[in-house]
This record gives sequence, C-alpha cells and structure tokens, in this order.
Amino acid sequence: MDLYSTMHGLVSWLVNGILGLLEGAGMRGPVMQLVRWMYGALEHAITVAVVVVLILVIGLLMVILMLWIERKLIARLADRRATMLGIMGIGKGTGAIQLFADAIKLLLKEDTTPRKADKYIFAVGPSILVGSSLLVLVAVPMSDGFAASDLKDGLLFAMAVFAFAPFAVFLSGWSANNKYTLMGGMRSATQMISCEIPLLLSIAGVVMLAGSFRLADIVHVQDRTWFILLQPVAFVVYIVAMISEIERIPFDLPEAEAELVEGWQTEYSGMKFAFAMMAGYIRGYIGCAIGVILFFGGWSSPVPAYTVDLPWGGRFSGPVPELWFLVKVLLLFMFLVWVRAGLGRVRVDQIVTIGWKRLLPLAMFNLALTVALMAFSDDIGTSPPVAGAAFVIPAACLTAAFWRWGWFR
Amino acid sequence: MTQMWINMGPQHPSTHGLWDLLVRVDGETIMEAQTKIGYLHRGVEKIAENRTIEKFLPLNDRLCYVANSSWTTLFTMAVEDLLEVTPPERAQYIRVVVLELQRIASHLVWLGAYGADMGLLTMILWGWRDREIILDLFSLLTGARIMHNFPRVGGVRNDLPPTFKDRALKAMDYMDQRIPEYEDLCGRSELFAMRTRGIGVLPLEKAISLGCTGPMLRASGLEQDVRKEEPYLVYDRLDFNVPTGQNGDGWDRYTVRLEEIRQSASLVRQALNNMPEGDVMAPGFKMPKVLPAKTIYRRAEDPRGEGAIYLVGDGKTNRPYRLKIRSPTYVHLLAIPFYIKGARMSDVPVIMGGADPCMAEVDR
Repeated sequence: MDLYSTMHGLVSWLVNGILGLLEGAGMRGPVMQLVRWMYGALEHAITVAVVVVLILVIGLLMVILMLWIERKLIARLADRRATMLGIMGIGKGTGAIQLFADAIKLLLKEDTTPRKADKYIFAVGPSILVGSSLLVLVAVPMSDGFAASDLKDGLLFAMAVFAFAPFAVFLSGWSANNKYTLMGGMRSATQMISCEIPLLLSIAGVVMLAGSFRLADIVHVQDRTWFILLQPVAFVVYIVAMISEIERIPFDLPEAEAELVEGWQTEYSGMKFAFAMMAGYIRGYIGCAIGVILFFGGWSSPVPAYTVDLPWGGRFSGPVPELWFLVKVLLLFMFLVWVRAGLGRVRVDQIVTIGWKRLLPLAMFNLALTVALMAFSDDIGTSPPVAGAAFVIPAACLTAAFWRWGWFR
Repeated sequence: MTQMWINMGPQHPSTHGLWDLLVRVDGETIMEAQTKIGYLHRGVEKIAENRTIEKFLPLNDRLCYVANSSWTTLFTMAVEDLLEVTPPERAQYIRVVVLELQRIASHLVWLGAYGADMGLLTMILWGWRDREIILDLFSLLTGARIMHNFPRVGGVRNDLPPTFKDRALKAMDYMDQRIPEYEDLCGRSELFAMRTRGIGVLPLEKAISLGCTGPMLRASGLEQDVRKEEPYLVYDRLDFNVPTGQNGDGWDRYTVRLEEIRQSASLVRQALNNMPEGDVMAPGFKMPKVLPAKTIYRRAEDPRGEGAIYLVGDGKTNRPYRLKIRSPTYVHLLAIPFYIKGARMSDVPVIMGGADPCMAEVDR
C-alpha cells in the first residue's frame, strides 16, 4: 500500500459518496453525467494534487518542528530558554505559539523592493529557492509506501534539484543591487563549486555498495549493516559538505551576519524573507533525511524485530517506520544544531581549502577503498573481515591524519 | 573584479558601537581602509570646563559604557593629585576591587562580542550571563549596575556591605570554573584558531609607533602595564602577572585578555583578603572653593589600555581650566587601517573586535 493508492481510494470514496448523495437527493441528468465524466478524466490529476499537497504540508510542518527544535536546543546549549510563548495557558513555556506568531508577523510585514533592484529577478529568486527545495521533497520517501513518487533514480533526482538553490541565491544576491547581497551571492557560488563535488563523490560509495539509485533500495540494503559503519569517511565528507550546501554555521558564509549584515538576504523583507528562511529549513530537512537514508538505515527500525501480544488482543511489532525515520532525521538535525552552537564561521578561502584540499581527497580515498574492498567481496556487509576493514582502515587513517597534521586547518 | 568601497558601519551588525570602517575590497581582499569616528561626540572635555569637580564626576561614568568605574576612578585620582589628598588605605583597596571587577566585566563583554564576530553566538550569551554576576556585585556595592558613580575625591562613596566579601569571593570561584569552559569553547576549538591565528597581525614596532597600549600592545609581545610600571592605589602590594602574546594576532589578543580575567579574579581575592579596617573617606577632607593652579597628568590601566587624564587647575575657580582625556581605543581604532591590508572581508569584524572599541570613550 503506498501513498498514491491510499489517496486515490480516499478521493474516489469521497467523490463517489458525494455524487451518490446528490443523485439520491434527485439530482440526475446531463450535468451529473458531465461531472462524473470529468471526475473520471481528472481522477489521476486530482489524486496527484492531493498527494503533493500532503507532502507539502508535511514539509512545512517539518520546517516548523525543526525551527522549534533548533531554537530550544541552541538556547539550552547557550544556557538560556528561548521563546516561552504560549496562548491562553496552552503550551506555556514551550514557545510553540511563537513560530506561528512569527509567521503571521512576516506575512503582515511590508514587502519592500530596493529602487535600484532588478524587480523581476528580485521577486523570483526566493520563489526559485523555495520551489526547488520543495520539489526535492517529492523524491524523498519517509517509508516504503510513504512517498510522493517512488523514483527509480530518486537519489540522482534529489541531488540534481538540490544543487539548484545556490543558483537562486546568486541571482537574488545580484539582483538586489547591494554590495552585501552581491558578496553573499558570490560566496554562495564559491561554496557550491567547492562542496558539491565532494558531496556527490561521498554518495557514490554508498550507491556502489547499494547498487541502486532508488532510495528505498538503499534503505533495504542496510537491513544488515548501516552504511555509517561501512562508509565512515563518506559520512564525514557527506555531513561537512551537506552543512555547507544547506548553509548552516560553520559554513553559512552567504549570510554571514557579522560582516555582510545578512548576506544575500539583506534586502528581503516580509514573506520573501520568510521564503528564504523556510527554504533553509526545508533543505536542512532534506539534507538530514538523505543522510539518514544513506547512512543510518532510513526508516528501518534500529531495534531487532519483536512482537508483543497486546492485552486487548492484537499484536504490536514496533511503531510505524515513518516514526523511526523522523526520529533519526531529527536526531541528525540536533547534531547540526549542536555543531552550530559550538563552532564559529569559516572564511571564504578556508571553505575552498576545505572543499578542494580536504574533502575531495577524502572522498576519492573513500571511493578507492570501496572499490578495493568490493574486489574481495561483492557485498561488503556480508563478510565480517571485509566489513571490519571497511571501518577500521579509514577510521585509523582519519584519526592519524587529524592528530598528526591538523588535517582541517 | 573591480574594486569597491564597503561601509562596515555605522549601521552594521558587526560594528561594536557607532563608528564606520570604510574598506576598499578587491573581491574579498581588503586593499585599503579608513576609520570614520565622531558619531558619538558629546564634548565631554568642554563640559568639564564648565562644571565643578563634583558635578563632573558622574559624567565620567558615561565615558565608557562597559568599563565605567575605571574612568571615574582615574579622574578622582587625577583630582586627588591636584588637591594633594590621599584616600585612606581601605578606600584604595575598595577601588582596586571595583577596578578589577570592572576589568573582568569588560573583558567578558569583549570575549562574547569577539565570539559573535566569527559567528560563535554561544560565547556572547555565556559572556553576558557571567557578566551579570559581576553586575550583581556592583548593584550590591554601589546600588547601580552600570553607572555606579562610586569613587569620590578622597575615597569612595560607601563602605562594603556586610555580605559583599563572601559574595565576591564566591563570584570569583565561579569565574575560575567558567574560564576553562571559555577555553573549551574558544581556545581549544580548531575553528576559533583558524579564524584568529595570523589574523590582524600587529608587529611590536608598529604597535609602539602607533601608540597602542594595554592588551593590544601586550598581545604584540611587550610587557607593559601601568599597574606595574607606575603603581597606583595598592597595586604594588598585590601579586599579579602581566600576560603577553608573541605575534600580535587575533589569537594573542584572546589569550592575553583571557589571562587578564584570571589575574583580575586573583587580584580581587587578594584585595578583599588584605583589606584593612578603617575609614573610606579621607577624614576632614573638604573640596576647596578654588582649584590650585597646577597641571596634572595621571595614567591608569583601563581594561582597554592606558587611559590618562590631563587636568589643569587655574587657581581662580573650582572648575578645571582644561581637561584632556587620553582614550586607548581611540588610538587602537585609528591604528586599524595600518594593519588590516590583505585581510579578508570575513576577518574585518575579527580585527575590529580585537581592538575592543568602546565608542563613547573614543568620541568623548
């Protein structure tokens, strides 16, 4: 059972029920026949629309949840409590209402455009950004059935669309005709060319092991061993490059508030700013979700299979896979928040160094090692000595490199 | 890419106060810089010529909003030199306690802002959190958190409250616990080192010729401290080290100031423990109706460097004939264009922050 057929059944049931009721009430004739014919013709499109809206809503709910987690967690790490706003005694101290208040505030704010800006591009930039980010959600499944589209090349599609955002940032930064936004846009382009290649190379190792670009396949291959154990270097490269791609501290150079005011977002206000912010969190979700799918077994349960007979009859064999997936994604996101609380921001020349001189060799090393180990065993995870080597060799090399040469400096 | 001028102020999140650093950038590299100051000029020195000493005293608190009592104490010391009165020993010890607490508070604000300059926002929250402890002590001692108006010509306004000593010692123990945490967050962080090592290098010869003082000069490697060189109050009876750096880069400015927090905590402890009993105002002292016709130049170690007051009495009125304030950060800000060349755009806030500017004191 997947999301599409469930929604299809739901929509058919609803439409047929309403039409049946109307017919029962005596509305027959050519109009009703036309409606029935039109529904038959548009059935597929309506279902797709419902599925997409559902995915969109889930994506936006994730934004709110992650924003809330980030605020609360980073506040605790800095020894404060962040927003405590509740409404009428509900959610007092949790600050759950604050996010909705913020959203309403941004909606009501004046939307300004600089006089010298390229007005069309200036308005289109955030839309491209948030649109391309939401488009990736289509390809990111939350479980075997819960996906808008089960693409055969889902990972390729996701990474391709994902790489689109720096372009939108660059456009927005240039179109605002402001020195700070221009520099922010330039930095975004710099960052993309230095971190995109290591990101894709780190994914290549995982894809070789899984033998598929389909995200569900990659998850199922990990039923035995999570790829974090077989591809530790790839994970390090992935997470560093991904933080850079989603522009979070320590790699949030395009919006470095210390020197560039707010970077490429400086001139945006109101809903356009909200779009920029929202895209950041959607991309954060996607980055964490793909990371979980590639390295942490996706929606597979981390505990061994078990079944409990419930006292009121029926059986319970663990929560739904979507829940595991969300838990893993949010844990990975919390790691990113932790990184943000503990680190500052690197410089532009340093991110180029990190991308080209550190991450790229690491990713190449990982790829070569994966190929070499696959020569011994087609399926690395099944052979304990090879799997052990796959973890121990890179871990030892990484540690040695880090301690001996101060690798990341 | 063509070069362009970028304003790093006065309305910019990176400026520590109301000033403007114009930088000419080629891509991300700084080719040239100009400092623009004066946005906060209030004519404090001229105001002093029209006020009696007592009336001018509270205005000294407004000279720097981060280290208030340092300036008031310095001014009272200058006036005491002019009138030839010596405050009682207990008052001198209390002044040392206040000065060193003020130094800790000021350096904590600096450390927090320095972290924020490189995107480390946790540091600014920690810094301001721990500064609150010091401000609570000030509140207990002087009744005010920021504008204390505490020193008086010939002593200090009031004696220590009964609970002050215990609370201050406890606060210093707390600071000793916190300093290793700052070191974990900043000093032991690879990223902090990446952002500060070799950034904004000010060689010693240049630092001396530009007139830098205080932590800026000490970071460049010269062990220069007015408290050691020309001891005032009771600093010659207290035991403390003057930390120095080697390279004069952003990293050394951090280590020097962090060590100064430690030394100040130790100084507060020593001063509280060695404090004799007695009066806190010079007995029988009264402000004269006429200031003697004399010229006084008095220096003191402000948290930011060497502050100095040049005071002239005219022998006719009870108002200073001339007051000149030597502000250390005024010198440091104007020195920035001399060593910022070649830095990256991202280094600008780090370099600006390393000078620890306090604009109220620079513009006066």
